[in-house]
Amino acid sequence: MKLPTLCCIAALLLVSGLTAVRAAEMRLEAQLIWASNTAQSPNPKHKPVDAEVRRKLAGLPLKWTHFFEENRKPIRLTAAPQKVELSDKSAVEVRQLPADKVQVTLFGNGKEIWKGVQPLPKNEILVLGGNAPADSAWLVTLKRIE
Amino acid sequence: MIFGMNEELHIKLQAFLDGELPEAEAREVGSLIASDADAAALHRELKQTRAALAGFEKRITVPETREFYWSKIAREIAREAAPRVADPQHSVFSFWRRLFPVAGVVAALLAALVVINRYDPRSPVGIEVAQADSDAFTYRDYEAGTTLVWLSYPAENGLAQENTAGKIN
Repeated sequence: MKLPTLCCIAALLLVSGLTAVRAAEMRLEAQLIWASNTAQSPNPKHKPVDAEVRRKLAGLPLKWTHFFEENRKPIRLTAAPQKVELSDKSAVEVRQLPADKVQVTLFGNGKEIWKGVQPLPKNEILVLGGNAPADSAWLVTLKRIE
Repeated sequence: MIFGMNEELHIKLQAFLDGELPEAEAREVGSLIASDADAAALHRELKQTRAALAGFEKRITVPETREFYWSKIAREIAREAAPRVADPQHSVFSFWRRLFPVAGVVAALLAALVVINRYDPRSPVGIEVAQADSDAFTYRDYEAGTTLVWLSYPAENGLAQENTAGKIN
């Protein structure tokens, strides 16, 4: 085998190896958020979301002004999809895909209610949401940390 | 104008008047004019009309002789009718002219490729709203790096609902 061919193979292996290492590094953070227009949540365990998430949510076309964190779970993505329970009713499953993409499946009351593929570069955030009783809303956020 | 007279006789009378009929036929038409009142009337009318128009007709003369003038027309007709044989220089231009649309398409494709390669979905190109299906719509703010997927999930099944008792469903 000639030297240029060997160099090409080595380069390809290096690139694929780096890609594999990089793919294994994806870390996310999932949050379940209750959105409301009341400044105080009736649940004493609730706490306002952090400033960065609040800023991101404020930039979205949502009518709610107050966002309370109900639960927060880290997700470390490996080759297998990761599923985390955010409440008794909700869970989210994330599968890592090439090119900084993730496949997200949202479960509500044990049933799949949404599934989609989304580019999720570092520091970007995916927000899934829906209406809730009493003119409030639920939000599930997925933020790429690494 | 004499109505009812057949067209053939009308033409013959006109030709008689113009002196275009053969001698025998001219004699026949002359006899007809003498014996038939209608033919005579039409002949008279045509003659008057011709006399009236004669003053208005512009006499056009060509510089060439009659034979040469008509031979020019014949040559032009023959040239138009003959299949075109392209000379080599003309063929080269035709080839490049045919190549222009292909080159245009290739250039457009290259331009599109450049635009696509330069496109970065993370760049602040604005906001995009899409409805992939009837159950959800997607709002994407490229500048803020935020994507919102709003689901038409029944509110009573809210995934994170705080009721008055403070219990999280």
